[in-house]
Amino acid sequence: MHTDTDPLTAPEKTVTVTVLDVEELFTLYADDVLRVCSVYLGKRSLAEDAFQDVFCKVCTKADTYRGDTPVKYWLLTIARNVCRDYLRSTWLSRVISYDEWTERKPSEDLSNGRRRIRDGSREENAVIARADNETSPLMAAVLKLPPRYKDVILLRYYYDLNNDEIARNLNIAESSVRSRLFRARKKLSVFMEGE
Amino acid sequence: MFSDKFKKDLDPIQADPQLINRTRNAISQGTGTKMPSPLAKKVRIAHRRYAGIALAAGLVVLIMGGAVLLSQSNLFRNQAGKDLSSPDTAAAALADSAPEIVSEEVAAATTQAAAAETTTDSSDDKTSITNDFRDPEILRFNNYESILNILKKSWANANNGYSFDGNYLEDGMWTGETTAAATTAAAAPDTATGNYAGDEKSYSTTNVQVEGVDEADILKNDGEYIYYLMNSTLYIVDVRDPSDMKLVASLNGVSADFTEYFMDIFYASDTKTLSVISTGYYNGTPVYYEEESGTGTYGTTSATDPVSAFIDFIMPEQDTSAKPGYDPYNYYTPTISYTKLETYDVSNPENPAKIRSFSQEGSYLSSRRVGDTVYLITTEYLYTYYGYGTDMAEVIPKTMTGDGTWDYVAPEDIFIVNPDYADSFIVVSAIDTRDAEHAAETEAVLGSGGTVYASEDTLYIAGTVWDDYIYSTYDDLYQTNGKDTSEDDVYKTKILSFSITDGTLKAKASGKVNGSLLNQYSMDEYDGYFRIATTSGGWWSSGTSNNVFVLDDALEPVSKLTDLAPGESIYSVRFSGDRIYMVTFEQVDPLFVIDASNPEKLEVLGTLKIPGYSNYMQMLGDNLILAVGNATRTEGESVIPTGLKIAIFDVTDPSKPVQKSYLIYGASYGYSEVQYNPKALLLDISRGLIGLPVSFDMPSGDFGSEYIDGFLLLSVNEEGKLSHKNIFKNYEAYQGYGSSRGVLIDDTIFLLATEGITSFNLTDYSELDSLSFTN
Repeated sequence: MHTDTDPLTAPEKTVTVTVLDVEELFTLYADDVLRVCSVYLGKRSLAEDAFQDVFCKVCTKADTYRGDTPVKYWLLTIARNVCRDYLRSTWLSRVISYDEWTERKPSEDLSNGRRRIRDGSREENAVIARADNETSPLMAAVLKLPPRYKDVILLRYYYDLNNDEIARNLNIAESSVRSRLFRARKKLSVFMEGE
Repeated sequence: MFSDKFKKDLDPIQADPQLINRTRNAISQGTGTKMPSPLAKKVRIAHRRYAGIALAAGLVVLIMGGAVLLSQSNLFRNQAGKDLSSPDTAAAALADSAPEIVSEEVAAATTQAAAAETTTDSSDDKTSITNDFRDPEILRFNNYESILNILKKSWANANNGYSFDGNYLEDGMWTGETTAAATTAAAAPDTATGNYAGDEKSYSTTNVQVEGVDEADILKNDGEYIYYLMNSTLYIVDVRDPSDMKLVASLNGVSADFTEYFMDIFYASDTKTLSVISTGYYNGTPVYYEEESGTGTYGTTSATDPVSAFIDFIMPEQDTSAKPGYDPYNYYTPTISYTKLETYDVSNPENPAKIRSFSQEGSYLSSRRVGDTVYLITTEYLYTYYGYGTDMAEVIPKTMTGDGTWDYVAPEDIFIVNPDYADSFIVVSAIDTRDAEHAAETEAVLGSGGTVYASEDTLYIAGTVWDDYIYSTYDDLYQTNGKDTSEDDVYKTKILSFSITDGTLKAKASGKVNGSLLNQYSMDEYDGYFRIATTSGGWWSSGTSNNVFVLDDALEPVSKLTDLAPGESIYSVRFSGDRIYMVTFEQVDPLFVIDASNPEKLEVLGTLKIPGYSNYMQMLGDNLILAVGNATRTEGESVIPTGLKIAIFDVTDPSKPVQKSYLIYGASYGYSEVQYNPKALLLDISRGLIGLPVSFDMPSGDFGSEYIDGFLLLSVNEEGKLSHKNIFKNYEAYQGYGSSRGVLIDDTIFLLATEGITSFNLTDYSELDSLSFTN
């Protein structure tokens, strides 16, 4: 939930370094991770794949969490990087290419009493996309931003971080944050009235 | 307020319990490792039906491995760490290491090309090709330094300014300059060689895209022996007497230390040569991803406070082997994937004799066989080496002959097309399967690829790329030119071509088109032209459209057809000489018939709109198309796939394609592996027989459904009428993980599955013999 706007400096109260309980993470941050992935990847099916990757990584690499950032932002950083890797060439093509994705093995899901094939995710795309109705013009514009602008837009306008916090979260200079925000705002200028 | 509107749009996205369940499964499968362990595989078999969905995610995770996460810690570096490498010093370092520019002409030409890109017009002319820009020439190098230098810069460009080895470079530093061009690759067009021997024997072969270009599969046969790869074991079965099958040999594909597995096989029936592709990994040298934080820690006694200094004195740090200057407790050992080709002479199938073995680094992407030569294609992801103090030389791909040592690919064989996307190497090798003395040829391209298409003379590797840099690097340039980049596709498909005439291998050309492609069947070469079908856009449901591009031998655009079926996506494509058949889908299935007889001008001849969609199309003769897909039903605004639909389209009159006949299997669900893996299709055009593995549901009793897994046999006559022949269903011998496969030899059909192989008489479908692999 975005209402959980703990600043970067706040001590993490719910999860500590040594006990990264994935169930707890699901409860607290699943929606956040999925939203971030959706914004970066633009497709529900890709976002869901990335979502799974993020949590798989969290589980295998929990020991790299050092506790100097709230878990939420650590998760979002992982999500951001997973998405970047999806977008950056190879993984995207892997995800959507028949060769790598479906040549291996088909997979099935019986969890709902009815099998649903996820190979290629294409038919699923069609279904989900329609169920979600049309993307709003604002979201469509955000989705078209390059990832580096999405970085700052998400943290600034969704997570309400200030420039300094964004800089630390992205590990870039504060001046870079400002210039990216400036450019991103320019691209979204139609929706930025009164900001 | 923007913020409020943004939150309002984003908040409805929620992780549903199903997704979380799938994720739990993926986690419990232990998919955080690079390779599936044999144990995991067995677990999957046991839980096929229940845990299957996790595989989908698992595959991606397996491919990605744990390497990606390494980059995370970088983002958590403290401010002090950043100060160590200020933009100024980094820039100076770069200037020092800048490789010499051998050819200024090329650099100038590239700059021009970059400038030209910015002035592309936005004319509405559908045949305008100015929107597709060309990559710079293929650059070759004569030293590793130039290659590594480009890597550093592009890496920094793509990673918030952090270079590969931990140095910070100013954001957007990469300016598109092309440094150090040694030579440009020769692009001599090659003439066609003689045809690969066609066969007139009465046994089925792997359903390949291009005749004469063999594709690796898990199943091959020559009418006498069946070679079948299952659970990483290769079984050789004597089927000369279908009533008395004999397992004559089996090769265990799992290496003793569980690091290597069989993936795919090739078989050349004329020379009795079997080639086995395995993938494996080994551990590289450790990579440190954390710089020593502050001073006075880790192995030194210069702590400032007396207590720490005393503790350091009496208990010095143990890890003295750590790399000086790096946190000795924060490193990891990269696992480096490789792919191996082993070839065997199986003139005596009981005793396969090894001919040669060749390995190259990278994850297995695809492969092709033309005559005696196998082309092995892998991608090596550079993130594997991401970290501080990385030995840059580690990123150069290596190959190994036999069980020798890993040798670096020579710099002359490494080339770069567009350094902005240098996050992986594509490694291609040409290996003579029979002549062990014939050294393999290897080329490595800095770039990425996902889909492979090959004709007998040319190998094409296409990769969908995220066109980030056109926004960032040239941002201001674009704005001053009044170019609205948001109108351009962010997904582009890059294509690389290699000349492979007569077993050689030579990088040939590179090109780029708008949109992303579906699979290898989206590409084709005909009459000297390369054709490719892509889907543009793809943001949620809106904004997609579909295109066909024609490129020449040098991958220069010749013509294009765009804006087909706006709002829909390509579901299948089939190129057939002068005609192109394309199925798109959103609510109904339009089949487009496109005339490509004039490569300069493509034209839509006709369309057919019917419910459902097709994922795979196969030509049956000149005018009949076999289409495998799903029927659909409408529920409110949503279109939901239901049963498996097998249809025959007649395109005798290209302006009026018609659906001749169709069969639907499954009330609410139907699936065939053929939809996504055409190699699973069993086809005997001369006898009009079609076989495919299927699973579907059938209402049974008053409640619920019966699920059927099996192998479906159909026939089709010359008029295009489909008839149901038989379904071999729920049969223990061919039940198992994955779907069954079929082989036709004379009047016998052999069904293969996890546990074994069963033969049936084709006339009355009676079982002749059954052979189990498990005992």
